[in-house]
Amino acid sequence: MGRRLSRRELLKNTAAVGAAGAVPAAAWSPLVNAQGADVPASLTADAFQTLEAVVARLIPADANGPGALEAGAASYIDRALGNALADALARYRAGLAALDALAVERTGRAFAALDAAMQDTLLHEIDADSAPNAALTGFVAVVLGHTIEGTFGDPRYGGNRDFIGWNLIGYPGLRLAVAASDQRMSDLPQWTRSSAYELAMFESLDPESEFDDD
Amino acid sequence: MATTRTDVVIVGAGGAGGIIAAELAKAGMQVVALERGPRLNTSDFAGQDELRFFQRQDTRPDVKRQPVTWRRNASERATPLGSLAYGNQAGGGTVHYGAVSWRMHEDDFQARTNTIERYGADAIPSDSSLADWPLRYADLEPFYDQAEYELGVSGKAGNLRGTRIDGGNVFEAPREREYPLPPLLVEQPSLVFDEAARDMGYHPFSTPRAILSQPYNGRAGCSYCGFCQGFGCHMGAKSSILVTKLPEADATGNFELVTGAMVHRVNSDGDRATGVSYWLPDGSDNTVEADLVILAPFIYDNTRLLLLSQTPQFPNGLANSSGHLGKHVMTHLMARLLVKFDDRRMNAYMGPSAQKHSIDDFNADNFDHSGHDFIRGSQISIGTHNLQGGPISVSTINPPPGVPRWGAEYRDFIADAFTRYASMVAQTENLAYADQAIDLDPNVKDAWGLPAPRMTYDWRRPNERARVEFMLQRMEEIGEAMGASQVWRAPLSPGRPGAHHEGGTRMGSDPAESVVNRYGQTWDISNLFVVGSSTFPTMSGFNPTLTIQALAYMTADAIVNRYRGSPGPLV
Ligand SMILES: Cc1cc2nc3c(=O)[nH]c(=O)nc-3n(C[C@H](O)[C@H](O)[C@H](O)COP(=O)(O)OP(=O)(O)OC[C@H]3O[C@@H](n4cnc5c(N)ncnc54)[C@H](O)[C@@H]3O)c2cc1C
Repeated sequence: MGRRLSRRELLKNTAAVGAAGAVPAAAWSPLVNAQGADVPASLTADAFQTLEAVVARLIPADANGPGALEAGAASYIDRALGNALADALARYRAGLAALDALAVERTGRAFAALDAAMQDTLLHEIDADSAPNAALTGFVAVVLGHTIEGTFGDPRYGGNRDFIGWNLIGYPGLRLAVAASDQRMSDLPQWTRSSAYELAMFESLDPESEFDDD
Repeated sequence: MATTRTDVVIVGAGGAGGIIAAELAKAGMQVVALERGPRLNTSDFAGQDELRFFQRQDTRPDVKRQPVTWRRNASERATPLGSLAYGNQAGGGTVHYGAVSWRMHEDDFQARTNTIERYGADAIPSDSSLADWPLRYADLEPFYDQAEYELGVSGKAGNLRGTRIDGGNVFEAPREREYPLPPLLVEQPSLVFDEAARDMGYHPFSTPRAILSQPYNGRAGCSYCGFCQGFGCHMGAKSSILVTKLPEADATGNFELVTGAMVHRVNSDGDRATGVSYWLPDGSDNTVEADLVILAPFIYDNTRLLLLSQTPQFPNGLANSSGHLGKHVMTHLMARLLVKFDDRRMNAYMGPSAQKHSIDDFNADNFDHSGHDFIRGSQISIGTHNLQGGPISVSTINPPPGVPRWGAEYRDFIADAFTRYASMVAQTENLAYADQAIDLDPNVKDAWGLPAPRMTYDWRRPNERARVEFMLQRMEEIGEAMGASQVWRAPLSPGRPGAHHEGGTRMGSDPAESVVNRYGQTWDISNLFVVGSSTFPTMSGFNPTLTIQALAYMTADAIVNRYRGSPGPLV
């Protein structure tokens, strides 16, 4: 069915990245432990592991390249649950715990310890109209929405690491000005890779500042 | 608690309020505008931050603090809508809108009369309150012209004083002169759409947009960054009220904008409005006394404020002796069709706004409806699937039937489709029905403790369903003609309100059948005006804002040149 960028296209566009010289200087870096693994800020270590396992099934890696887990979507969500998505924290805690409990009940093992096929089976089951537990009703859709944000959003927010999300779908990157010939083209334009907040025009802006009401 | 006095107080400094404020202040009137949100600058917009502006909607109303609830019918309990498509800061919705700027057709102002004449009275559903406007296109033409030239709209005329011009919208109403700016640059989806549409005998054209295709009035032209609809423009090339009318108002010295001001009541004494009351962020309750009160806070608060401001004389809401307040609400039902290509990239994320090129062949009464089981129509455009095309918007692309919403197959779909898809949208006209309405929600309150505006609405009526199905079929034909390898329909919403909410304070020529006259002046209280799409009797198949703005100019003109000299009813 679907198809990723051809090898030729990847090479061509990777070269363009090199030419543009954009190296993502993340303004925010995740907490990592001695092994280089993410340390969660909002969720417990167990819940975070479950979340990582879920995210990895929603937009999985394959032989052609990395997916949402590698893009840092779980760590984006964990961090956002401490600020912009704070309203969803209770939902995540309850949902992840319920999912783990379901996995234990069905298989005797934690969700994160299951193989991909079994994880998919459980996710499909709770994504159906009649989830076995109120905490799981609609939970896949919630995590999916945030996984997309963490995979394809501006890297400034901690996801889309190494522009994995943008590479996956062939998004050419942020450009402040696009030429008439590029607008018309039926091929892929050259890629650039940078966060909006690395562009000179926006670098002084703080994306998480509040707009004052007065 | 403070009380101030002024000539004119305007509630809401958005698409309509900003125009009236500038025009009255320029004429020497003392104007205070009360705006619940902040006043931002173009330098506040990292326009390309899709997470902040598109996903988290930082410049739109916060659905938790300012909920609008919705139910399908009177027996359901309403729940808050998940996102709100209007403004929450100075400049209002024009800060983040797509800036698509249409004039309505001549026929749109007389839909009832024309329908009866051409198809007989039976063609109008018996429960529809389809009505003519109390004005004609020719009355509004000078004000459309003023809006296009003062704000800056890019497009190509298709009808100059009756002469049809190929390449423009040949179905448009006659205009006195060309657009002030040439059309915006064309992108791949529009090139392919245009060719197919022309082959089919249709008349494609570049959608007119209030985005500068060239430098104009000291502002820079668009640089095509692509983050437009849903975003504030970081270079001020979008002709929002923030960069057009508010600076004009400031320059007069007669204008004061109070931000963070949440208006909660229109004060009145018998059949005279005396001013408004508003809360500031510090919790204080303040009053502005004014000779003239103008409401421009978009449709929900136009209705809600009048309902909240009831008096013994007006027990059903201020200026509501007709009983029509809150009724005849309409929204555009968006029928969407996706197309995907194997032989080329569409790059639909390029360029400003979601409605790039359009055809008008199936709008209004531009085609013969004989033998169809619906009246009115829709303009059809090509672009991205939902509002904008940045990488997060990949989530808005409905996969074709059979492809799941997550997992390996989904990943393969988006990896393939993101640069290869485009989407057509038919923005179908919804007829007015009296029971499509806004009132006060008895269960849900906003952050200030006021009852939320509640919509009772379900679009799935026979006329609407038939119109939507007809448009989907036309789009499928165009998609095939475009050479798409795959063409599929997006699912239709289960009754939910669509885009561009209109109605609630309907204008008319009969005080018993409408809330305001053609100038937005309430029939009951001559120093109280209501502006915005809440006054539209019918909605047309076009986005509303240029018509809202032309009407605002007309209202300002009537106030300055007639009302000011002899206050009282203008009609
Ligand atoms: C993403 C998006 C895209 C759009 N694209 C288009 C398009 O391409 N073309 C088009 O024609 N239209 C478009 N629209 C619609 C357009 O934004 C509105 O039609 C237009 O802004 C309406 O003008 P208005 O003055 O009536 O309301 P607004 O511009 O919303 O202004 C109302 C103002 O009143 C303030 N306010 C509300 N209640 C109160 C209160 N109680 N006290 C004080 N202040 C208050 C609000 O904060 C707001 O600033 C779009 C809308 C959205 C959200």
